[in-house]
Amino acid sequence: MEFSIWNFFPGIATLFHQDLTVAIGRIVLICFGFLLAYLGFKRVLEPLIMIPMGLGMLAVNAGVLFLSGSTTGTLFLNPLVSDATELINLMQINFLQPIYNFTFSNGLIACLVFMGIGAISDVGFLLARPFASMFIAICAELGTIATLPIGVAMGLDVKEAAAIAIVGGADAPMVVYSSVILAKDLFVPITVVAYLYLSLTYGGYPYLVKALIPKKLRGIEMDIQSMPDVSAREKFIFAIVTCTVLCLLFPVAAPLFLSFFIGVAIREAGVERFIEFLEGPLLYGSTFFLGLLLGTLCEAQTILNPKVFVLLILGMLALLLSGIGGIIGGLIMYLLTRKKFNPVIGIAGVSCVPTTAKVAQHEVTEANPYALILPYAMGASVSGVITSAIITGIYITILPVMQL
Amino acid sequence: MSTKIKLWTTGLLLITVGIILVRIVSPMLAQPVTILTAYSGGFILATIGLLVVSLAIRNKP
Repeated sequence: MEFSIWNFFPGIATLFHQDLTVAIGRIVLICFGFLLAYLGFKRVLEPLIMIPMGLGMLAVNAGVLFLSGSTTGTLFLNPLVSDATELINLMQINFLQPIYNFTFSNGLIACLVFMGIGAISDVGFLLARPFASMFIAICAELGTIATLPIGVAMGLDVKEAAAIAIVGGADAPMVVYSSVILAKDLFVPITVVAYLYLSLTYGGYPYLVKALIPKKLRGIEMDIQSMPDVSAREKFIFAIVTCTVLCLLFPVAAPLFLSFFIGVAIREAGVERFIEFLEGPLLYGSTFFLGLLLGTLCEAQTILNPKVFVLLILGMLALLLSGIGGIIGGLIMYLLTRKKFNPVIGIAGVSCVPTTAKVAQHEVTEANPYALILPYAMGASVSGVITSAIITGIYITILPVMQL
Repeated sequence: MSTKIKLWTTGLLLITVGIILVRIVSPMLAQPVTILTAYSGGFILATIGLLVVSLAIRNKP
């Protein structure tokens, strides 16, 4: 390589040595990373994910350098390497390579987040009203189910369509887990789309609730006093039985089920040290690395894929349909219970625990400050996590078996 | 027989039939439609079984 002043600034010089599309993509992603981090800082988007993701995204696209000769790369990680010897070498060079290979490609990071989610989930709300909670949660999977054929119709492979359809379950660790198994080539854009949209659900779903449910129905008061008390023993037994049954039904998704229900079981057993560990350092530590790695995986050369635009549309459609499905479920329950059920609880069936439950309560409080629906909403939300995990289990079990 | 025991028995029976359909019957079938039918049927039975078990857990003797 001949001498040039730009050799002192490889991050900039590489822009002129790369394909024009990639170079423009890098600049766009640097700006996008800055935007995500800033929106996280302003709390418009979820800061827990968006600040590490935004910084990771801008750093990986700014920090491209010449590796050998005219080849370019970064010192973050290389997700495409498959040769064992090359991988061992890279682990000693790229600082995030070990975390990626030991936690991302086997789905461990999703399971760690899921353990934390289990530890903060109270299945008592679900056990208090099991049929209503499960019915709403199943309705709120409309996006997960309907997006699959729509994705296929839009030109995606059935496994890729299933992976993006899981976004409708509004459970990001599930999206990471399923896309690693079903659509390894598209797992980065699918997961980024999932996290981006899930951050927006908090802002978007209130409008959906207001648009679909009249104010009179939003203010319906629920009978909280009649909710039965569920003891820790009952919740513990439920966690163990459900975990066993689901693992027997879907062995491919058994790590997910174990991770969630071990969190629930530890919470109900009252093992304080473990509870503190799962809901604190483990949950937030893995969320931090999840965000950081997702950001650093968004290198222009890796992420530029013609299917990304389709994924953006399908991700939004999946979440929209799930929200509509949940509200339809809430309205059906309203009719079945002779107008005693607040249909806003339906939105909580979209399993973004506890975000959608909080959105539901917020919308109800706006319509009627005396109405309390949070326990019912939490029941639907926790059921949503379980139904999302079940649908993920069905997709990753049955699609490969049917050789579609 | 108490209601609690009846609920536990029914729930576990439904779960067992569901698991047999999903794990044993459906892999033995050849046509995708029949596989899907056995699989979905088994899954629905097992889910109903789980709901019945959740009622059994809550039921006070």
